[in-house]
Amino acid sequence: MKIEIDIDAKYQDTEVVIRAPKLTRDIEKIVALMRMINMQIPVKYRDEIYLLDIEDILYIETVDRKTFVYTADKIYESDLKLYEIELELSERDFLRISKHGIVNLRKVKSLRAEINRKIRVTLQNGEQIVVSRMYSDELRRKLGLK
Amino acid sequence: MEKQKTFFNYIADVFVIYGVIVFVYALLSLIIGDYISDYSSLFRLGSGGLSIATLLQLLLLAIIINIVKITFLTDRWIKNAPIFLRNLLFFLTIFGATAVLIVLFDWFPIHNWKAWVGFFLSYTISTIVSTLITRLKERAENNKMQAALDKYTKH
Repeated sequence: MKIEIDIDAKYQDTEVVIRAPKLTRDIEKIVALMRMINMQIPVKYRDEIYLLDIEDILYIETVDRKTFVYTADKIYESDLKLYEIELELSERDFLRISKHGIVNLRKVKSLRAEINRKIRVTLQNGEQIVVSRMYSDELRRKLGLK
Repeated sequence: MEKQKTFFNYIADVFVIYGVIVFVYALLSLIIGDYISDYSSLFRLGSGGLSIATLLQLLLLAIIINIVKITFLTDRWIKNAPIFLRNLLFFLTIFGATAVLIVLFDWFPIHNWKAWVGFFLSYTISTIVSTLITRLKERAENNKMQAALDKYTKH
């Protein structure tokens, strides 16, 4: 794959052009990752592709190697791997909570300490997920408790 | 990845509990052993220490405590229960198991109701105190986390 970067003051805006003989999964991934810079994530729902605003996401999890994106009322599927999404969203308000999940801290309603240093998270829609012991310290750090 | 506990970790846990129990009973035998040696099989040797039989009985108690601990105070088998309920079940089960050991090993005369009342009262008081402390700690931790979360989401 040839990568060409042309930085010049003559350009008014940032433009990314992809030239390829056909649309591949790699290209789809590149586009998806770039969308995330614009605070959007491409997701699938009943075979249709949508651009979902990141701020609408409650949490993201992988089940059987598939990535699911949860909002208040729908569950979407994403072609991106969890670590790819984590890489892009960790600078925002998203935090890894287990091997299989990332949560949007802005959508958390309450937190409750559990046994073994785990934390039970109640989301704004009432759904509950658990932050594993391994990631609970990171959550405490992010909240300024450590 | 979270570290999976091995069999040896469980053995180590048992011996930590066992160490504490033996230390407490050794101390008790030194202080009151001579006065109650005729009364309790645990302190048969008086202030001379603990017998092999007593040490083995206390090891059995430590094993039981560890099994009950794994059952109620970890999420190995019970996935979703409040800490308060877990503590309550933990203490109730230990109480029952200790009562069985008292009868089995004659730790005090089982027909002496005053001894049972003493056992019940001392166990209940320590359970209530311990559960209350856990409850208060849990509440303080939750309040602290909630305040930090509210501060985070407001920014």
